[in-house]
Amino acid sequence: MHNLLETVFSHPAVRGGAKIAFCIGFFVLALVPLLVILERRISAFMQNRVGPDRVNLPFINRLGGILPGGLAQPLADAIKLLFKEDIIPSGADKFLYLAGPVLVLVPPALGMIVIPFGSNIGGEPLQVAHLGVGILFTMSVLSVAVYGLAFGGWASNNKWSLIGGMRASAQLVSYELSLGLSILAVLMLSGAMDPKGGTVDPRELVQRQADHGWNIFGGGNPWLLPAGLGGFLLFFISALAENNRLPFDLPECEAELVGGYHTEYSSMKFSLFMMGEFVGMILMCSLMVTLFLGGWSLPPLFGALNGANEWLAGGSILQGLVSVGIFVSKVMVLLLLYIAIRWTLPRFKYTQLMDLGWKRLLPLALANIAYVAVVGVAASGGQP
Amino acid sequence: MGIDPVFALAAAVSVVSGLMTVTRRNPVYSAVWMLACFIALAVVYLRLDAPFLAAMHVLVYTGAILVLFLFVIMLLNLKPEEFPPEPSLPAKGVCALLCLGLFGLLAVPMWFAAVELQGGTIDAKGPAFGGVEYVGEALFGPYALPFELMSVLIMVAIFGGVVLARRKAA
Amino acid sequence: MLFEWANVLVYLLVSIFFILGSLTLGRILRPHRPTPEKLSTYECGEEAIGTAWIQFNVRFYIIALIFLIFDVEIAVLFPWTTIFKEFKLLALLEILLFVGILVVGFAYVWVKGDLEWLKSIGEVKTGPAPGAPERAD
Repeated sequence: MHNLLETVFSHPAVRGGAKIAFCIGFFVLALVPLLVILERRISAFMQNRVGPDRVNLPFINRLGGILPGGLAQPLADAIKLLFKEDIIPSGADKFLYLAGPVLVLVPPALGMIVIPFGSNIGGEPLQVAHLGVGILFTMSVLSVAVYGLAFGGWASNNKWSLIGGMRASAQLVSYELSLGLSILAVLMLSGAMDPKGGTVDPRELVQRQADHGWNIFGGGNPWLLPAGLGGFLLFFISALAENNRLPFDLPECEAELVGGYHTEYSSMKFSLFMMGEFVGMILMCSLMVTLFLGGWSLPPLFGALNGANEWLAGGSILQGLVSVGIFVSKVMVLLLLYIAIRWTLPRFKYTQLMDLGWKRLLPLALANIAYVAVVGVAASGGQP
Repeated sequence: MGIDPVFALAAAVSVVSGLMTVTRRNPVYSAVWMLACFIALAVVYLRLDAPFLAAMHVLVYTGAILVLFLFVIMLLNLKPEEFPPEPSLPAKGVCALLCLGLFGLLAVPMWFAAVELQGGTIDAKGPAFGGVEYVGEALFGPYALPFELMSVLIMVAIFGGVVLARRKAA
Repeated sequence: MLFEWANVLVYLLVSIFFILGSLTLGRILRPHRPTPEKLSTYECGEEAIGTAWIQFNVRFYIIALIFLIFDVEIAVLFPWTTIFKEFKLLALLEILLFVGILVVGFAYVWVKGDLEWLKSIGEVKTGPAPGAPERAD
């Protein structure tokens, strides 16, 4: 039996297929419903309500009270949405009305491809595709997501949708700058510490963090600690805005725009918008974990835990699964932070949003880059 | 050696979507086809072993330039009855000839150069050629001066764009 | 490398298959009983006046323009991160000059008030804020 498995998995296509299946099956199809119910239960908890607690998982129910109630609520919601009538407004542009939600969901799902979600199993790195352009791939597919919101808002032929779509796309591009600049700063930061120089390869980035120290703590260089922490904060704030999450959910604020760009969407197309939003959150948190929080590794603590990280990279099935577990737990912590922020902070005004993006975050991100560049060049010995 | 099928498919898609871009009456649909054209071009770059160029093409062209176009289209939001009248057939023909002439101006010297250099084909340069490191070494080494001048060009573009926009708003 | 891009393609196809599959499944299962009222544009319960395809504010254009410029900057900074160990001080000077020139452009836009989202309304209500630029309108 074991031999048979080994023979089957020796084929690269099978291994690739297994990784694709895990990436889509776990990060998109399993984590999104979990996030939906978590968001609803946590919001209920924070607002002193009960929240959805009736629909339990089929067959296992609550495992005799171990699991909280309502875990199957997203499943029930999905079935309900499947049976809902799809109302396409008569004035809508049919093709772009369909293209909107598809373009919202596909780019963030595709961006997960280059994220290393674990160390390796039997030498096979746990990353769907090891591309030469690395992180750049995620950045470029993310820049396509803007069209989903713009087309969705425009095609509905509804004033709320159009305003929501325009707001969303302007917000997305504004915060994409500080997002991109903080990614750049972290690439330079990791290059400053390593004799091989900068890299855009996420797998290499994680390996360096496992060896020298997480990038959020300056990648092992105490001089770069402010750049690591500051860069992480910049990235986190920009990521909230990129995902249209509170306090930046202006494009869909219900008090003035009904539902924003998805006002006219119903049934499965609406659920695609929702899924796109949650997959976007998962992608942003995975990027943060990969770039700043050491991916699948434990913090080396000045070499104290290097042994543990070497064990994680050992390559047995157990070691691989533990590393995936560490990665996923970090992502989950960030996602819970996202949810807690949503139910804690009030919404910005649009002027404040634009001011924060252009007049605060962008100059700060530029200063961060300049700081890392000066320290990095000084650390590598000055004269060419 | 035959023609690479991925390259052929991507090239065909880019040409067809380019044609669709210029023939659509609704400018929003022109933008949609242009999006398809840009992505097909990125695949062409990939097949030519220029992955960095492909990523930058998607990031800058679809992620920024086309967004700018889309905002301008939505800024004006012409209704179908406001579209300019369909140009006459001779006018279209003249325009097509002019475009073909421009294409020829670019393509013929390139073809001759290719014949001279490599006997008729331009091959991909190998995986290292279009990587991030190679581009960096070229950009900040031998081509440092044009690179710095580019920033001046971009700055002038900021001034020009903002001045024009303000005149339109006034 | 090619095999990795094949993975990308398969991943893309699988995700599109899932999306189209769920949409088709919904199409088979759900009812379809349109009425003119149901298909009308949703707008406060009143009948919508005019189309939504209205002309938009020029501020969005300016935002997109400045974004484009900084996006180009990000694009050229990526190769820089991979070589700055090698070129050291020279690389630092090159990139500081490049970014410095762009920051001049950014400062121009900022000082001229084109980053202000609320400028026209502010003028109507309270007159120009102290230090605000003069505008023809």
